[in-house]
Amino acid sequence: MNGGRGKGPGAGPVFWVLLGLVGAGLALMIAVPLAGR
Amino acid sequence: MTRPVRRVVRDNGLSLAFTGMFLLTLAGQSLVGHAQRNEELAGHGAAAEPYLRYVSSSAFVVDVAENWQSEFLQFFMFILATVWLVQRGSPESKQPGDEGLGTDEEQLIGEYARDDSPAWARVRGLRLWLLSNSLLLVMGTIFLLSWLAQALAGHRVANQESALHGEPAPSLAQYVASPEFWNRTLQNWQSEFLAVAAMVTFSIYLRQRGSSESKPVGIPHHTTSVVAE
Repeated sequence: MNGGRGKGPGAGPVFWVLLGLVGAGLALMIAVPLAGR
Repeated sequence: MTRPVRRVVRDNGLSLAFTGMFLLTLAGQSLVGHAQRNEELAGHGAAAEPYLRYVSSSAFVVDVAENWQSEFLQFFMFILATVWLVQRGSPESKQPGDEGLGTDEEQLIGEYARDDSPAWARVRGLRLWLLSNSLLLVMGTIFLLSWLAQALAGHRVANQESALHGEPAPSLAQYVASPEFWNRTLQNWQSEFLAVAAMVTFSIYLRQRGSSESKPVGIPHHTTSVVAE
């Protein structure tokens, strides 16, 4: 066990980076047609 | 690289490699999509479109979104189906007989939570339900939003094409009932479901030494879940 609170070292940032990437992509992909482009 | 950086890169190699491949191939798609668009415009004797205008157009978005939605649907369905269905011999499956949600003890929740379990595994109610279903909820939400983006962008492109041909523009409801929308959708879904079926069945008899997606090379074909045996 790593002694952390249920996640390994460095596991946090990649999760949030990827979730942010997907979220930003979705927001853009919905915004483009709504903006009439 | 300094030691901590090297450690972060090694600990996250899978995520970093696939995120990098995603960004490179998305960039590649935008470049060749732009080139194809300008070939079509030239064929009609129209002026070329700048790159930035193309990547912020619904034509580019619909091509990206239709692939996103099918990938996230694939994982959504796979995660959901593996709760209730098994495949004897496949490392992607639980043991036959283990179908269902599992007991609190097996799932390490409530009084069975460990010291290093996620905090929400220890509590009851909404937070435990959210944690217990968070992977399915997030994959399902991304699927629905990508499919929505595909519908909105595809509708916009259909409107632009109708205007070019002097035809009446379809409503959004007409577009999502159109063969074009469902052709874009189902051509992606069929390949995702085939890939899952192939992965589940091929992994019964085939191996890749060293891969976490494979049983160890010498494990018998009839052995299903490697960790449990």
